[in-house]
Order: sequence, then structure tokens, then C-alpha cells
Amino acid sequence: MADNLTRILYVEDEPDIQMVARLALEALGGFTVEICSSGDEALQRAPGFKPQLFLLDVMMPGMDGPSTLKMLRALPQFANTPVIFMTAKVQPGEVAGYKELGAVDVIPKPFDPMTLASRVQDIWERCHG
Amino acid sequence: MADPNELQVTLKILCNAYAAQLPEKLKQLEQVWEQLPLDSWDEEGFQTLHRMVHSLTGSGKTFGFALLSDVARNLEEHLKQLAQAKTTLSVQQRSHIHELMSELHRVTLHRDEVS
Repeated sequence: MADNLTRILYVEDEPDIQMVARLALEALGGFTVEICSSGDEALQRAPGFKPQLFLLDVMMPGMDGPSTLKMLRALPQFANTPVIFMTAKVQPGEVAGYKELGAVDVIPKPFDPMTLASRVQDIWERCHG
Repeated sequence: MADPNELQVTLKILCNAYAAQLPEKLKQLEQVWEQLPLDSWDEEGFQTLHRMVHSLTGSGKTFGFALLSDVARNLEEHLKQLAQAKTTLSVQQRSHIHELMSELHRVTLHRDEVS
């Protein structure tokens, strides 16, 4: 396997989900997590944080997940960084659409805080296996 | 990595905080719904309503309210269909939304068992 996953940038506008995701990914998963409340904030903070993986909520006010992905891809250092969408919209057709946009996978919401970290780890290993 | 018991305690605190905010969230949802005009299509108001319901769908089960997520998803599906038509809501459509909103209230009383 190439690199171990340690640094994750998560873009999510809802404070309660931010808190539970931080708990799940940091305390349970042992990852270092940077949480941004909007796509704009992610674009500002990603270059300094240098994430190995992005978790993007799809439905956000302002710039949504897919638009954020497009803007991140325009930055050379994140042209190939894996992106996972988090969304409560998980019709099979929609998942295929997100993958076409360049997401490696989609994690459905509501997620289980006890298994979120292992789910992210599994997807990472699949990308780097 | 954190102590599993400590983790459970923290998770419980977050779930309790979510539970405490639920009545206010549902109240806001109802206010947005009641402010939608009866005689025309209000795109912005409807989008706000959709976003609020979507937020409940995507969070309920994470915080121990699985039924809330289920009912919110039904309501969201219904709203999505209406948003495609963008026409003034019929009496039946309004009453269906009203029913699902009442159900949202009922299911906030059902909290999942935490292990």
C-alpha cells in the first residue's frame, strides 16, 4: 500500500454533524481532521492543511459538494486527491452521477458514527490497494 | 485513540444535544411551511423547506432517531416531486405534507436504544 491515511478535510455545513463526524474520525479512527463549513472555506484552507482525502457533503447552501469538487480539481495539488461525497440522496442513478464527477465513492447519510472511520479507511485502501 | 467508554459518553452527549434541539428545528420547519403562499409557487421558500427536511433525513439516525430519518425521507421525496412541477399545491398535496409533518413530531418521541 502507498501511504497511510492520516489527513482528512471534511466539508459540512451542519454543526451537529461536524461534531459527531469529528468524534468518529478523530477519536475512533485516529485521523487528523480539518472541518470546513463551506466550499469556500475548504478552498482557502485545503492548501495549508494538505489533506490526503476530501469528504464533501453534497447539499450545502452556496457552493454545493459537486461545485466544490470542481473548484478543488482546478488546484494542481488536488487534481487527483480522492474525494468521497456524503449525502442523504442515494438513488443508484445519483451515485453513478457522483462517481462520474470524479468521486471515488459515496457514503450515505445518516451515517453510523461507530463505523464511519472504518468505512473511510476501506475506501482509502481500495483506492490505494 | 480514545477510551471506548469515554467515546460512548461523548456520543451520548452529542445525541442529547441533538434531541434537545429537535423541537426548535421542527418549529422552524413548520413556520417555513406556514409562510408558503397558498395561491402561488414560492421557489425560494420551497427550497428552504426542502433543505430543512433534507437535514433531518441526513442526521436523525446518526443521533439515535432512525424513524425521524425515515419519515423525513418520505417527506423529502414528496417535496422533490412537487418541486419538479412548481405549481400551486392542491388541497390533497398540502394535507399530505401536513400529515407527514405531524408524523415527524410523533417520531421524535422514538429514540433508538443506545448500547
